[in-house]
Amino acid sequence: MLAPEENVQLMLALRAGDAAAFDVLFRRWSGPLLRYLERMLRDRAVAEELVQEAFIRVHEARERYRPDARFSTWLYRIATNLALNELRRPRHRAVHRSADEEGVPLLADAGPGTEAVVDARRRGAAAARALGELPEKQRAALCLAAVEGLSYAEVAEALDVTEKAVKSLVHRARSSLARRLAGEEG
Amino acid sequence: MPEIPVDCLPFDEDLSALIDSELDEGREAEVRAHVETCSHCAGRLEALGSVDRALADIPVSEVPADLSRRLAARLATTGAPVVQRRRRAPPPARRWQRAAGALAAAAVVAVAVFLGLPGEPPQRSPRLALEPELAEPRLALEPELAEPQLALEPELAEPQLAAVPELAEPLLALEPELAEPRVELAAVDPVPKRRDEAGFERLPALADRDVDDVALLLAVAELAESDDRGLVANLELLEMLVDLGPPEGV
Repeated sequence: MLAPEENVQLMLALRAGDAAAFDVLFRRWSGPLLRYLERMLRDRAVAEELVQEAFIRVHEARERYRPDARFSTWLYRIATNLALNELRRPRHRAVHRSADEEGVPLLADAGPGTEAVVDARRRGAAAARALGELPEKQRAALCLAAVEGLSYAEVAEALDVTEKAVKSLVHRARSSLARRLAGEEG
Repeated sequence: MPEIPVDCLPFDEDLSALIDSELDEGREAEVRAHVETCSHCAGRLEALGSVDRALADIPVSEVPADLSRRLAARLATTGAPVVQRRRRAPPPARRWQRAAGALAAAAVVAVAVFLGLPGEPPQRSPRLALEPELAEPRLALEPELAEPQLALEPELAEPQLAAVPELAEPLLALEPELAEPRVELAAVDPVPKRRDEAGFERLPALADRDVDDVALLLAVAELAESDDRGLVANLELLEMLVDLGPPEGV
């Protein structure tokens, strides 16, 4: 993983016209961004589109970039705004498909340790469904803090809310998911 | 969820913060001490922690191998705003501006015809002639368009150009009329090109037109300069006026 200052250096290089720096940033961040957006949207194709869109925004903003904030926070903020916009589109509300539902069979090809793998897949599919039912900001806060490993301060910056609000959003999201998952298991 | 005992309420939200390592040392010690003696909070901490394990089990896709190539193609197209703007219908505000511009140009024509303008030597058109970007409008202004993605994806350089042919010569291919704007004008009024003191070629149609036309075109150039679409508006208005032809009786 690149240290935060390396991301900043790459952005400054991009701002100075070094297109290869953009390539490095894309290779480093496209995976985490896709993972985040796929969890947020439960739609792999749209998540891929938004990863591209986020990097287009980065590229377009390269000359205005100032290293005041962490690059990762800035990138997640762009991605979150794109995801929230997408979730509010009527088209998205009608379609909820993702890898947990469309492409990963629970039993087929599970290979060695089949039972554990199947359990994990079942747990993951249930978590994806429950996550998709959370309010958008709770979902974003939980994904950023619990999966992507951002600090509450960084999540606050990415979501444009206070740290106190992040603490509450994350806790309510976790509590809600715990209840739903316990309900599914029971 | 079972109701939270009153004694546990001050600790409940901090259980998530404990999982996320967001508590300061003192508060973390307090919460841990409480959890050790409280079965409710111990169970709750376990339940909240299981959420993170479930989230980690959500299957996610690998980044597709061609995603960077698709991004490169999109960057190539979004990096050419003039081409896109020219093909899009202008927003309402722009339509108003254009309508106002056309009306103003018509007013200039009417005034010029009415006054009969004195027979001075035909004025040159300094603004249009001195704008070097008319000669090579886009390649010079947006150099990144010429080779947008070669550095981004060095290994894809050749296949990319083959797969997305417009990347090689985006503007010439997409907007052939922009590449040689003055050829169109010269075809309307085929007078040999001239050069001014700065060496820039003048528009022959301007250099040798009647004074009314020159005044009109100067007015148009003035209008176009106030519009951030600049060259595009300029060319579109010029094309519109050329289509109209000279005023009656001139």
